Amino acid sequence: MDHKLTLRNVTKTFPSEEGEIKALDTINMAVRAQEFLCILGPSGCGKTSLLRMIAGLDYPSSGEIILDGEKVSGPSPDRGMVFQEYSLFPWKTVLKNVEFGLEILGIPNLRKIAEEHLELVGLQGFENHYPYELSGGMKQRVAIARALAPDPAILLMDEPFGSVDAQTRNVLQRELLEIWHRTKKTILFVTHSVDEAVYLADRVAVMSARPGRIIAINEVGLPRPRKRTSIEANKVREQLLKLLGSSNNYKIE
Amino acid sequence: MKITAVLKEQGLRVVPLIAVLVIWEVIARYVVKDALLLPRFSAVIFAIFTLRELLIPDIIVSLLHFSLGVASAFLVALPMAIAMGWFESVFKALDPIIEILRPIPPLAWIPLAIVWFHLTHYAAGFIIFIGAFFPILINSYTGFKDVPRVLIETGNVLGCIGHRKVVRHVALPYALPAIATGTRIGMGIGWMCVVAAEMFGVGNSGLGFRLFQKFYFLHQMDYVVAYMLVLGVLALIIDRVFRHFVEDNLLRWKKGIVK
Amino acid sequence: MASFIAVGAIAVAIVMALGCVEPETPAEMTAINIGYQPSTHQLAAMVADEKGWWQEDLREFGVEEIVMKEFPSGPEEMQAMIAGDLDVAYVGTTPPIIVMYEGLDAKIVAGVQTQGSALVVRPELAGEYEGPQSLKGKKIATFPPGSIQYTLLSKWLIDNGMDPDEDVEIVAMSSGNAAFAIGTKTVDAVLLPSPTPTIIEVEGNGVIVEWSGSMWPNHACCCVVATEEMMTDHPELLKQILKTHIRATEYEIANPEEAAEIYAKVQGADVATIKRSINVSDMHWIHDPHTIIASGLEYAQVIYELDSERYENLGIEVLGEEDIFDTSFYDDITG
Repeated sequence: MDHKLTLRNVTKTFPSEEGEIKALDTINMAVRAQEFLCILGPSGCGKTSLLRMIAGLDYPSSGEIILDGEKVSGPSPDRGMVFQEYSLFPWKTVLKNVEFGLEILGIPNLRKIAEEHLELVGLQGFENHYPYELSGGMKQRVAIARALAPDPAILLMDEPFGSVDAQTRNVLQRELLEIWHRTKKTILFVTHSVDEAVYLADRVAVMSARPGRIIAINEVGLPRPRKRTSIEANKVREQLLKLLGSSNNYKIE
Repeated sequence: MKITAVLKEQGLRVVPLIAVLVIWEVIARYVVKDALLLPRFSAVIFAIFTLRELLIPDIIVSLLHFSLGVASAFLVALPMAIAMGWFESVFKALDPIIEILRPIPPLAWIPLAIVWFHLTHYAAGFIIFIGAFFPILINSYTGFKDVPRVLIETGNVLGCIGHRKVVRHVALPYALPAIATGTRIGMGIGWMCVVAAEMFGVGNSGLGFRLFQKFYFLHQMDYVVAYMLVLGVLALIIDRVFRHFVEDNLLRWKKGIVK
Repeated sequence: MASFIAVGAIAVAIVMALGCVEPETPAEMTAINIGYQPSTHQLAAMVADEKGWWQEDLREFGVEEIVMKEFPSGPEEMQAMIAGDLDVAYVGTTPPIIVMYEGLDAKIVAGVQTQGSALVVRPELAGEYEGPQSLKGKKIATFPPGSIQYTLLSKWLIDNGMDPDEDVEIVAMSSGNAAFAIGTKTVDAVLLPSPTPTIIEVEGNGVIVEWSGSMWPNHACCCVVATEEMMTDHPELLKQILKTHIRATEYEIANPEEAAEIYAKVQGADVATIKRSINVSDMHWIHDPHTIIASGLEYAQVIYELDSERYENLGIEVLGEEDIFDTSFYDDITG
């Protein structure tokens, strides 16, 4: 099987007053092409640091990150990133925000590509709105469109629905799955919510509290569209909760 | 119905203004009764009419000094602000110098200005430069310092690698409202310095020059107050024009955030 | 709306109350404010002060404190008189006339001196100086508009076919600043009262090319001005002030060397330079106001012409002798 993204012995330490602190401990992981993989862990376990290193915004202290056979170093539109909030450029319209990555890359036809991606996230008609005029959910949709417009090899998402209310979150999760179906992207999705992971993921990588380790990578194994409250879903939820509970010093939902 | 509503709203702005003018006229005419101490409002308006030919070249020269000072302040302050706001080391190096120079009143620079630039338009422009420089610098570098990390990193992941690209595509647009505010404040202070800058005889026209070098020494207080009013009205016009063109058009998006 | 009217009414009431607070009867003066300028023109004031004559002579009128206030030039001195900070002023003849045009009720009550100002040009320009035409396009520092020197310069240029606004650049400064300016070549020439022209020459920063007497022969320069309050409420005190002034003037005429030493002491200048300045200047110390009436009226006419548009618009006419001078006090004490 072709692995899209491989993490080999990735470790992150940083210096502090008490000496060196290990944030991530020997992470080994392989992400398959076009799969939807969730990284699930308690707050402070290092899952966001891990994602940032894959994005190139930070560097591992040791180990390698390999995308499509090449070592990752530094950020690039090849690894699209969706942050949790406040990431839209407030001075640009929705359309110009989505065009931004294409503009930097010097891609022609940006307007058409941007409009297509707005349609993909269901925001056609909002091209000339400014971010301040949008709701939280709409803003995240724009962020997704913007990250996808330069056609990245992989899409990284850092708790992207953590700042919206529960109803909007459910809607956005459903829409994200539709977008994933249509674009066939590989998605790496960080969350602390077991429910979210069960609903969205093909596989779930469960992390322990600091120093972050991969405890297990489980297949969810449920066909889509999934019912959030089905017995099978609950079974998976139980499994994951047990895995999370098996590491000390954590807080689960 | 509609007319009374409009009148009421505008009335709140206009009536107190008119009341002040009436009170001024009454007090000058019946209480103070000494044009050397308080010229009448009517005398001042008449003076503006009398001085109309002098006013135009004076206004033009003052605006020239003002533009010289503000433009040079902007051109010097902005690159410094980018460097100071973006690079912590630059900020640490320059901040102590800035903080010592900043509290020195622009007027205290007048002797140096005269010695360096002699009695030319540049001396006047220099004082206005000092007045406008610090607000522009400080507001602007604060804008650059405040750029949120998430926006910088969004720029990074979308292909803006390196300081120049990030500053150009992310930091500068973000800081633009702060730069505009600093410029507006700087212009306000710069205009106040116009009189001070001109009163020491740099050239032979300008509103401040005429006010101090002529009208004051000749005790023509109605002319003095007339020029004071012109100075105030011009400042208002400059401010409103700036606000309209820069803040209303370029910075429409800021309205949503500053609520 | 109602609250606004209330606030407005209170504001007006307060201001009217303030405006009406005036003393009903003239109290005895216990302190007297005498204005003067740092020039050898007004040595009489400084001599009387140094020798304690002001204190001696005025004590019997209840005056316990003599306050000598120094001003860089006449217009500033008159501003203080308008504000009520001076009772008597040693000042050029033109600044008070200008203020009289604007409505002040002060009067000239005695003379102080005539002529005594000089035009100084930078050493490099002295060689080519041939008269007023040589000043075309130059920057000249002098006392502010309204002063004798400014009026003198303007009239002299006009009389010689030049326009003081277009052909030269006149900049207003104090003596000290002007001396500095010519020294740093910021200006090309200065017109100042003695002793500054001699000081500049001695320091090598300029050459005296004209004395004011050649620009406007026998022109009145400094005089003594009294406020209306002094003349109306304290006439006897004023007469004594004039007596002391006469005494000081006669003394300095008889003892110019000692007068120079007093000036050097009070102003912190070099004694030799001051003595020399008195010798070379064309100034005459006087005290009789009658001798300067003609010159004063000429000034009133020139001042009117220099700004005729303003005076005509305001319906002001040329001042006459009774508007400017009050010689009754001088006449009373000299019989």
